[in-house]
Amino acid sequence: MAVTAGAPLRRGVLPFIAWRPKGRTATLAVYIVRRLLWMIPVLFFVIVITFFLMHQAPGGPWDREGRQLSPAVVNNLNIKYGLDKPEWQQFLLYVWGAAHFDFGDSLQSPGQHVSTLLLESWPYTFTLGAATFLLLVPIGVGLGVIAALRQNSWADYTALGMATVFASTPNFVVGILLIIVFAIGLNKLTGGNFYLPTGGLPEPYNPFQVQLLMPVFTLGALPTAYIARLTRASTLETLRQDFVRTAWAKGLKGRLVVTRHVLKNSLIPVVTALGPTFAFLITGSFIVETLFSIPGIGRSFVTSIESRDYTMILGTTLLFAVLIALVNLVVDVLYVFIDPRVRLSD
Amino acid sequence: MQVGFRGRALALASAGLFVAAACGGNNNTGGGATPASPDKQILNVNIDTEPSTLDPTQEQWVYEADAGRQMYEALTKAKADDSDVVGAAAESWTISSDGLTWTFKLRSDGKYSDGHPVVAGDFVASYKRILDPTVAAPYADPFFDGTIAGGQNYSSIDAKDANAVKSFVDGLGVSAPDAHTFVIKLQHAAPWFKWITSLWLASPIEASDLSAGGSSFGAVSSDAPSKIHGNGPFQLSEIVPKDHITLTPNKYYRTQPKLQKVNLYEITDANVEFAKFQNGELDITRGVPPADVAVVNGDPKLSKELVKGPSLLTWWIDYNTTKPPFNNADLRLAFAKSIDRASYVHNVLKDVGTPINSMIPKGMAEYEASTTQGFDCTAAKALLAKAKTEGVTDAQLGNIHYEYRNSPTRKTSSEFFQQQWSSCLGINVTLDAKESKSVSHDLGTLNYQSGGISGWQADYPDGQDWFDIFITGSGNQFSGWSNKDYDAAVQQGDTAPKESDRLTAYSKAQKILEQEAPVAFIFQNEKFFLMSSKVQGAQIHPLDDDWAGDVASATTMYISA
Repeated sequence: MAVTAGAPLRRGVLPFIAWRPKGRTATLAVYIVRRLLWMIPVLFFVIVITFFLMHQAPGGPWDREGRQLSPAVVNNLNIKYGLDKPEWQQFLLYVWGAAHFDFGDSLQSPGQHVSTLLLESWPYTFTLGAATFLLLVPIGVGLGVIAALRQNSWADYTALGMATVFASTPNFVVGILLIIVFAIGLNKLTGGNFYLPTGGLPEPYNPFQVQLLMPVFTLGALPTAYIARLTRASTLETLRQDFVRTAWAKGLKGRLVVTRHVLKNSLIPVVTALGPTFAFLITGSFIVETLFSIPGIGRSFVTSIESRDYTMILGTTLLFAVLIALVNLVVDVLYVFIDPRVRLSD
Repeated sequence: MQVGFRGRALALASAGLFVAAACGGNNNTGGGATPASPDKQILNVNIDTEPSTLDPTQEQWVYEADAGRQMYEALTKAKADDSDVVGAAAESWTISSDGLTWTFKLRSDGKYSDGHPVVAGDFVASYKRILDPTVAAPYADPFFDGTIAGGQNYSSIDAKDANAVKSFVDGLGVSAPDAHTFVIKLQHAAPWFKWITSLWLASPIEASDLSAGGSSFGAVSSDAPSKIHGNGPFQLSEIVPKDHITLTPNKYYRTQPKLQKVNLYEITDANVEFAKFQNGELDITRGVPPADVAVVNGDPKLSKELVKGPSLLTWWIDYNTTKPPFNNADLRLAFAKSIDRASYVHNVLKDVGTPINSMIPKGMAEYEASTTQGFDCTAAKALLAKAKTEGVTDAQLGNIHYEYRNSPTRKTSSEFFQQQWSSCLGINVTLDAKESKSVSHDLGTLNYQSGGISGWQADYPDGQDWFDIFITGSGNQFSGWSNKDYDAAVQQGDTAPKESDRLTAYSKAQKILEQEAPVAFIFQNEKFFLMSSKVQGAQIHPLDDDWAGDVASATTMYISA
């Protein structure tokens, strides 16, 4: 097709440059794109720091207990994985590869790409984290609001008591107790009729499998308690504000006061906290994944650090950096919708 | 075989030689019970960690061989009494009179799990693969480059030079004159080379698997069952990464196992493993959590399902003999003699282990009882006094460090040694807990004073595998120790054609080692794990790792009705 004028071409081919942001939606779009572009230098510095820190750690991927690898074998392994080159050269090669989405081969799993291993294990972690989050938000926020609205009642004390217990019990205790009670105890008591599987996640993408019950509880107990306490404190503070008193005074129904005036304001700090909580949940927990034999990324990350699997460490750190950056972006954008006072700017 | 100290059960009781199980309460090894129906012939085993590869030539850890030994079969395998090897993939072999040419006749019915026959060319390819510098197989050195003709150049080949690699590999002394004859030429006579041919990594790899897999052959991925076909009794059936590996019988194998399915689970947490065993989800565990040893011993059902028995694995404390004060042999021996090993095994290991004063574990022909390093506080004090007259100063003794890999089990062990040195010798040793890799690095670079504990597990039951650890310049000793008489005795033991001459030479070497004490020998490992009473026909053997290995395999096991 013949091009007849400059303007349509500019609009069609280079919309971003031609587009002058007008109105709220446009500003938002520009903001998001700029934030995404900013991730590139951020990720670069994540690589710089991780790369040089991990090479500083004593010992290398071929150090071990028991029978030692001979110098000849170590030399050949170094050549095979490019570790014989000077560090700065390895670094540049890694950055170049990463820019092309090539994250190298794992040093501990011969013949396996880091990206394959990450894509294999992260879905398990994400499913577990997302399922936990889906339960955490209504339960944590719900308990917090109820406790605040019925301050100093039995409901408040129960919610607060539970929150305190779960916030102060380490998850390896919670997890092993659950296994003893539900997987072994009830199984024995009922002659094998009631039995909860301890995990293993047969389907990596299904958040509604029974295997998830115990790991979700173990992983979610502490953050739920934290969110409940935060919601309670924030709601109590909002309830004492003048505008809420005004709302009550002008005779608004209780439900409306709570949903329209109180919650909308009291949830702003909660949303701020939910962002990092979500990022924490989907980047995996070593303890929960080990305890419930979930083949997730939290476990493989710790294992890769212990074994100095350099490429796996870098790949996992990069994935975590991307996830956390994206979650933060989502939270920042959500502010616009929750709090009308927030204006996004560069 | 690599030794991992996974906080599981450690060392053993005073069992006799060549005891096949039956040391513990578990008596289900006889195989007299009626088998259950074929659909119930499912064995659930925990192997702790996912193998990092299924390429036999690159396997190096116990949990890799757990799968590899069922899937692949080498030329020979250990005899049930450890005294020799018997044919496996090879049905017979001859050795030339000069001991340099070994000719193996392969079984005519050897087949891979895709039905293709095992040919001698596959052995040539896999032996070459082990020594291919670009593959960098962890066990290439010293087993293969120290024995096979041409292999001695392994360390001087530049892996980046494709031509040099090719001419090196082509020049190796392995050949296949016909489809069922495999010939190996050696650099020098090595009576123990028969054991090398029994190692799990010296298995044939089907040529089509290797060419299709390329550099990713052996990758532990969910599509591996369609890509890897071994010649062993079992074949890969399913892989769920980091969760489990399922094996089913290789229907082309010469004898068919009763088990229809072997699930190898990868459960790392010992408490969870124990929970799953109690629930019937696991039939064989890797160990018993240290805190539950008493529970298991006291439980009427669990104590009957407990399997105990010696394993060919000893542990010792390392001294850096290149730096004062441990460059003094009398001081090293004084430290060795001030540890009450019996009390250590009883109080720290909860009786899961056997005290030992020498390197070679009970169960091997080279084992000799010795008191040279045995606990004797009076003698230790005398040795300390002697060391002081030889230049060891009080200032040096006041600043001794002992470093260990930070874990609850090792902390207890190290504190025990610290307390022993303090109470017997009056020397206060500082304990340094460090991360595992840091300790490996410090030991390997002789950047420490004393530390450990280090262990060695037999790759095969021959003195050569053990005594070579302490020869001058060996990468497997962390003591920096060198002794000409020891080296000469070991050299004689490694090469003498007559078995009795070898034993005499090794015995001489052993005495030097104990007296000079570059390390202090502490205890021998004991197998200590649970096996469900419905599992029958298992052979638990000192040489093997846990439930299966060189001698025992899942082929004899079955589930009783």
